[in-house]
Amino acid sequence: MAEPAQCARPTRVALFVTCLSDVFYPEAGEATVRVLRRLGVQVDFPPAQTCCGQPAFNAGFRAQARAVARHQLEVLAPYDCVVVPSGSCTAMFRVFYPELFAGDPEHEAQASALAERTYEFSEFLVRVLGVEDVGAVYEGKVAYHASCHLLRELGVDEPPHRLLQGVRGTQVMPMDLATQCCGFGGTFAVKYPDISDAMLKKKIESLKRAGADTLVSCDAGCLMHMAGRLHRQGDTIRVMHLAELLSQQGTVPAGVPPGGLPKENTNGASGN
Amino acid sequence: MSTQEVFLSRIRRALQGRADTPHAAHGEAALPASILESAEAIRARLHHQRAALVARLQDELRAVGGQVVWVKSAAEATRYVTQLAREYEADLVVRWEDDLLKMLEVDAALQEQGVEVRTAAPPLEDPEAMAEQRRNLRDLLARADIGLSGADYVIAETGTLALSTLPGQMRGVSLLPPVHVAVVKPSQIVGTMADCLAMLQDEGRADLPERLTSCVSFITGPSRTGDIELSLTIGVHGPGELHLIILDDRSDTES
Amino acid sequence: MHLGTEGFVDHAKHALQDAPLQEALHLLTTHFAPRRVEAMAALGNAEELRTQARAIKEHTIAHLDRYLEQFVAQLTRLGVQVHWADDAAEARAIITSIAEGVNAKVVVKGKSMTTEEIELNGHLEAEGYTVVETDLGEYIIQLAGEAPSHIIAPAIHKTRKQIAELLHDKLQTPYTEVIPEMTQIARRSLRQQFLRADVGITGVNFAIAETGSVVIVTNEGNGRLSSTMPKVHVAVMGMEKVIPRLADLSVMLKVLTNSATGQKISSYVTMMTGPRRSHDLDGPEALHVVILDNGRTSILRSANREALYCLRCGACLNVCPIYQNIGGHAYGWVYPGPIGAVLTPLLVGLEGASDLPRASTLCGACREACPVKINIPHMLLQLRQELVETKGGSHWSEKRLFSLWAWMMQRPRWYGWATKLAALAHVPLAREGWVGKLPPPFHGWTQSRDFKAPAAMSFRQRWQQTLQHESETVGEPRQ
Repeated sequence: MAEPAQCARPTRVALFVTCLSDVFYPEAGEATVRVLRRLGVQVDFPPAQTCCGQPAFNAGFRAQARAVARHQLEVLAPYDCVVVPSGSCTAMFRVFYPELFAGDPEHEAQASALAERTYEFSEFLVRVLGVEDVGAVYEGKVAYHASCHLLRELGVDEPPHRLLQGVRGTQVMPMDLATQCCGFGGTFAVKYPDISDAMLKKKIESLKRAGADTLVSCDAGCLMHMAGRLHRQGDTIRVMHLAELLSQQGTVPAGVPPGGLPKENTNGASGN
Repeated sequence: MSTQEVFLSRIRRALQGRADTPHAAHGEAALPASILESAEAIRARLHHQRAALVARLQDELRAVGGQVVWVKSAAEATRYVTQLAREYEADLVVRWEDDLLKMLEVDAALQEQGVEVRTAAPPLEDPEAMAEQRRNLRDLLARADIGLSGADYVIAETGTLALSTLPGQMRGVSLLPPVHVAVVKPSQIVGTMADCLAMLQDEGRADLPERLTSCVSFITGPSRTGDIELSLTIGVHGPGELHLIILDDRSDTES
Repeated sequence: MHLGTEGFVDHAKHALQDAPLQEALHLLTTHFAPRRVEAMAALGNAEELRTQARAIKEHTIAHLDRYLEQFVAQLTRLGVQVHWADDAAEARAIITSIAEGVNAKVVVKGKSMTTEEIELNGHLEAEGYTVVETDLGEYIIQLAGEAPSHIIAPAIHKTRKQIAELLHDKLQTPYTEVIPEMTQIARRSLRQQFLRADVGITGVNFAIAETGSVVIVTNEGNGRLSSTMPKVHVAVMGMEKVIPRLADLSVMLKVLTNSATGQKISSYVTMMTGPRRSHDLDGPEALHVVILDNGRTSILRSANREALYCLRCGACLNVCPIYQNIGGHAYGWVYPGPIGAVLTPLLVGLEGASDLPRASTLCGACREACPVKINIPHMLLQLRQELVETKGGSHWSEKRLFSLWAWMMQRPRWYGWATKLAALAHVPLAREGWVGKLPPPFHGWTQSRDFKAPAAMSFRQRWQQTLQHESETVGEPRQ
């Protein structure tokens, strides 16, 4: 697993918004920008970016993935620091790009260089900026889904938890199956719907057991997948990207510390 | 049917293709120093850990359903065995030919209770006589109530008995009867499996043509299975009861 | 057991609808998987051990010819008969002729996935031998006429009730659902077989090159009985089972038992070095070791060599969300679960097994659980690439689709137009931003969930129009 170099606290980053976020969850991209700006970081958006290439790579079409990846390498080359609001896309850049270009020294070097300066959003906040409290306020019972690439390919788990703890008014509700795959897996959900459904069902049941009114994750694919089921069921649990949660600045009674309401004090405001 | 040459040259060809494993260039796979400790160094180390090892051994063996007693005299040890025989209403006990067991004079004590005791004595010279001896012992073990043995070593870390097949140490004694009782001295206790393996290979064992005997059985508690609904059940094909007697009568010059 | 990998999707579907199976599989998450976690945590140095274990395997496999040579030299010195089997048919022929050579009638077997792989039982039975599986789980499925569904817990797909009915039905013993009672029924029934068997066949967990020893790791005692009571013991091993030194065994054993069942060590670890010696009063007169290739060399040659590091512990099965839902039979061959999804295509060919590398979300739980850190997700990705490159491995429409997609993704303007088009295309389909039914080939998604329609304005549009110029107070974060 390629670890990015610990760079000095940057004041300017390039946003790789990801194709899923661009098309389906622009709110997540917007929130990412707003949170970064609030923390004193200027955000560039390289307009020629498209997709990290993971769909083709995962399906076994490496030549096609390489072509798309080469484009991304070019697009991101001028930037010192790249932030990605997605665990799976970050893993694609850091872990799989070097593998994709093995045997092609020029691109391999570019890929390694990119890997060293690419961060997943929560990782960037906590490990690079050293921030855990972004001044967010959100009244709710929030469960966190640990997306697989973020957790296991990148080893990023503490940062999202720390950031959640830093949100005023938020009560963190642990899910017993928090680290279990939700069943999205990209085209897996379409190609093997029966198995995907079974996995999703268990995940949603875990979410319900947690008693949360809000579900948060760092990956749009997982969010789409789980939100889709919740919507089908007519469930009103809110689903949002971590960035969206962190960009919230709602009101909360005075005297409530980050990490949320004390356990005895369930004032019934959430739970819908 | 294939041959060694065909088989291995196929492997060699396959290995030539890829030379990208990082350790391939190095010699042996690196192991921590403790695993490659000599038997002598191990003995020296263990000497100071004796009490802790005895305590650990008892905890571990009990945790897996074995029963352990620590006795201070041969008489106590013998009493434990005869008590067990009474409890199980044993008719027949088959035992190793073992100096420690002989010292306990357990035969006499059991016979006094009307329990038959047979020893898996070292084999006879004559091949036919030996074949018959083996058959007889097999039949005996098939109906024995208790198998009584010593051990070569005992591993504290996991509560494991290591039983080799030195002369007099028959495999079936710890396998066929429903109850297995083993008697050991504290000096036989080692810390880890790594210790035990080093001791088994110890060059000091000059009486063997090969350093390892035909079979070394590492026995940890009674037999068990989880094959039905992952529910743990004790006592399947091997003994359902394992008793360990640690005889600490200070006669150990080796501790 | 014949290859059933082509019916993967159907088998999986049936498995998902099989209520008793689902009940049985649930135990994986509540019992099996947590035991490994606790055990590894209790070790205190689990990470270090996994690293060491992997290093041992990596080194050994990289020099496999050398270590096999050393192993066999020792075996020969000890009077063990060594047999080399290029493939399953050869292995079966070898074992049959060994049985023939001693006029055997009854063969007892310790649990061995390798013997399942070579389809030994059916062959021996066809040749007129009585074959008795003695591992409780294997005995149960033998009575049921089924294949094992898990690498170490072969009958895990059966509930207690199903087993009770089976025993009562096949053995005519009184009906009981009490597990210890069922176990005793099996013990009594099998004890006689051990005593009358002519040949005992086991697998091999570890083959020690330095000493010529064969090690089996068991809990029930049937492995010991199978290798002690009969006149002849046949140990069947995949060629990758060898490890260099006796000292290496301490590391490998530890990671194996803690990962497989969460035990510090199994009830019985039996290390056999040659057949019985002249002073031994029991033990087999003859020990045969059958070394099997059956496609392992091609794995050695491939980019997926680390599949040979597998210890057959089953840990990956227990944590795999796919396996947890569909069980082992759906995988269609001997080795199920994540490692099965790799081994099956590698050993029997990608063609009939094309679903196996694809039916995974690549979540990585398997790699996390593996005692030798096999990177299964990366191997699955590798296999997916190979599938695409083989004729008929993927549908031409998929290739067309991805080529088009790749073309577009290198051209930002086309990408931009395509996303605008997609947003428009969903307008008739979507209600309040959600689509209830997608057309083929995407209809799988909407089987049980709604599809979030593309946003009216994509991120890049928002960036262009407002976000770019928005000046939020760029401040210092509250600490």
